[in-house]
Amino acid sequence: MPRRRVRATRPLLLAAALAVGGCSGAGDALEISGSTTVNPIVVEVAEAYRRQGNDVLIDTQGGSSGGLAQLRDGQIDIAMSSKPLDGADPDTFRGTVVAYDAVGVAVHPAVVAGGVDGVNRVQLAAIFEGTITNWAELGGPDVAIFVYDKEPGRGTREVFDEFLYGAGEPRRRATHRNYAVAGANEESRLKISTTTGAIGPLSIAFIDDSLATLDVEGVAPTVGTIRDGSYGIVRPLLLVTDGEPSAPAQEFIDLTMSATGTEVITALGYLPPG
Amino acid sequence: MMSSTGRLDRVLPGLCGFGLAVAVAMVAAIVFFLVDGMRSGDVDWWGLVAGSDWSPRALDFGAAPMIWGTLIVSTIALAIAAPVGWGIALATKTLLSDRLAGLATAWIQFLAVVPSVVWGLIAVVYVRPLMRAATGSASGDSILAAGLVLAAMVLPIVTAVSLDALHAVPRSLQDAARCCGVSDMSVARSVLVPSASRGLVAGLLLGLSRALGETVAVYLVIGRVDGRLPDGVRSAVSSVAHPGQTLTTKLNSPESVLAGTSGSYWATMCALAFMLMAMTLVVGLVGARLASMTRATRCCGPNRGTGRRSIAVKDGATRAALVAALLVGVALSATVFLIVAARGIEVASPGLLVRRSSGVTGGGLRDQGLGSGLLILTAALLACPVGCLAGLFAFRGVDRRPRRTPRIVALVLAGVPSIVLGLAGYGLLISRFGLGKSWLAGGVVLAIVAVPYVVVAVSTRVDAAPPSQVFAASTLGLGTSQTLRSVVYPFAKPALISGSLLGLARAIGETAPLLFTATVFAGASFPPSSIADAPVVSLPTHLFTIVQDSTSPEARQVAWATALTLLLAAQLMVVVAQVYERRARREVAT
Repeated sequence: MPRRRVRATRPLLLAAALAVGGCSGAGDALEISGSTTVNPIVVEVAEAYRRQGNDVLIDTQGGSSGGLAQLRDGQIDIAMSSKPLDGADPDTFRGTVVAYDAVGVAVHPAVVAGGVDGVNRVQLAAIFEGTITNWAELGGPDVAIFVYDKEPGRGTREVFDEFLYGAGEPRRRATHRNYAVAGANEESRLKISTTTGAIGPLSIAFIDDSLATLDVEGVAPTVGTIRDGSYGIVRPLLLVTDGEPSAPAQEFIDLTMSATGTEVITALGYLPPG
Repeated sequence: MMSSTGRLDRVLPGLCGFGLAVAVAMVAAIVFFLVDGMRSGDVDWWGLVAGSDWSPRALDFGAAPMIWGTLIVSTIALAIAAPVGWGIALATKTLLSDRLAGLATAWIQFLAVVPSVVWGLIAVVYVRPLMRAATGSASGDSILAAGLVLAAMVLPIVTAVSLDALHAVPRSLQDAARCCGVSDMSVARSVLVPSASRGLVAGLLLGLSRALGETVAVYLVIGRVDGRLPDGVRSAVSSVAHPGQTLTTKLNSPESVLAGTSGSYWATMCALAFMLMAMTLVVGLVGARLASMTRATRCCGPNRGTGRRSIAVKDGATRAALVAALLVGVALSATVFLIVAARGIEVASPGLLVRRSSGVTGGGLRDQGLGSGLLILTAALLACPVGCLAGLFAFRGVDRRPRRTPRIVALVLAGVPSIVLGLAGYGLLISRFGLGKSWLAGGVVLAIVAVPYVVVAVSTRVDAAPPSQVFAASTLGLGTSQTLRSVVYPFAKPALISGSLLGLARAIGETAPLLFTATVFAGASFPPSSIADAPVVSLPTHLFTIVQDSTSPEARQVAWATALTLLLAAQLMVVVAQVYERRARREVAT
């Protein structure tokens, strides 16, 4: 009986010892969290950052506002934000613009194929509020409009609402039934491309062959129209720290601003600053 | 040697009490988290329950549409699952031989092993398009889609509890009826159902409790849109074909992270969690109470059918309904099994588990598998001793009724929705204790998922400990704690193993709590380098990300492979658990 007990205990002790022994060091990886729009840039830059022998963890739970909230709570080192800092954020926040991005009005390809190529601001607001409900009302196919908005707190949503209604104005309530929300950009892309008649705001870097974009006020979102400011819904992409960046955080931001970062940013379809 | 066991005997009762204390502390921590959260800011309860606008920027928190969503989704689920589950249970009891009944039960209980994120995958790939075709909605994201998936998820619970109740109906009652020349189907109607009615209701309630608290599968297909409250019966009916929001999907949304950890926004999120937990707990505890009362039988009513002919017609209809329910259950189980197996095997290869993943969704599952393994190992190291000791605490000695506290604590713990566990882990471990997202926090949360299974299994065995042996031990002069060690514990050991495995099988598929406590998007390498700020990647959260975000065929293939891996791991644990359960039953028989 005693011998059996020893046999059963030994592996347990071993496992416990391993667990404790393997975990004595403190976590020293750089932690970054926030916007799924900034995420692709950070993921690529992180590859280079790791090759320099550093450790970095990337999370996207909660989007821009989630990242900023985690930064405020001291849970992370750098927040990714796809919306500018505003009065609601602590004064201590330091944002570095690493790229510019346009919020495209993404639609299911059949909408553009059916004859709709652009909308103006008033029409866009009417679509999102549910007063325009069929693409035929805009000269397109007789297909019901399905809105895939971004969920509250997402940078894209806030930038888009600001374009529609002006700074700080809340969105009028969408009461129509063909309305649902998506979280990450990948989810928006998936939902819009698989739903007939769908429309939703989406970073142009995420718009691929499965989607089409509408011109806004007669201007298509391209690198050229972002640069010259003629496309209406443009926003900076930020890496934010609370106070002055720590050495590793500064190193990461520098790397993003370097030639390596610029190459990544251009390849992804964003516009480097300057 | 004598002295060491002697010392063990002295501390054993204390240790068992400690085990229970840990389980109680788990409940207390969750309650503390919620109360503390709600007190960190103003909660406008009336506005919360009655208001229908949700606009955090304007500090406008109306949750009536979420409460409505939670109720309607669960109602749809139970409206389907309860009759079908009861039918399956009755059919199994009356129409099938013992051998076939065992097979059918095991076959349908396979549905209980499927993790909710795998249901989510099935829902997105199959139910969404189905809804699109059926309702004409362009997207397919709808309350109805969520309700249908939930129905399949709670079916095994309703079935299992109902079947237990039917088995508890005394044989003598049925034999007496048969001796009077009453047909099998009439016995089912007039003896079995009335006698087991409490148990059947218990099945419904326990299913409902699970449905109210379910998160991930619902989250993936409901559309998550705020502010939809029907204003009449007609709009209520038509609203089910459209997107909605439930309490769980709101809590699982990023808003829980961006609400900060104090202030009225956070307090309101905690209030939502509190309301949800109150619902699942009350319904679950009433259900469990009813289930435990099934042994008290009631007299059956008179057989109201008069003519021989009308009885024959009724019998025929009953039989047809039962066969139909059984077929639905068997077919559903077979479909789910075949879908996951066929699509998973298409892409599964041993290499997949050895390769590291590349990018977000590509490549192998090595780190995800190891991460899940570490989480489950951590959960096991915590849940097994705590659950075992807490369960043994039920034993009070010879000729004394066992304590009921451990079972009650376990039932309460089991009634906490996993999303609330995740938020409590996030609020307490990650934020307050500054642990940061880490494998340890995830392991602790998963342990809380598993503990109730262990406690219930062990304390049930303590109840069933053969009085003769316990009595023999006491006549040999053994004290309570010596009896506990030398008679009760060895007797309860198979139950400890089977209960632990069942709990861990449930834990390995948990997704929502891990999203908040243990996993990140990228960069978590294996093994983690510390206990704090050391997140991992895991199979269920990996699957969740792919299901939610990816259209590419390659990612979808990885999704099915992940689903198959998860399902096999959980099923393996359940099968081993059943082996030990059978061993335990044999011991009772001898």
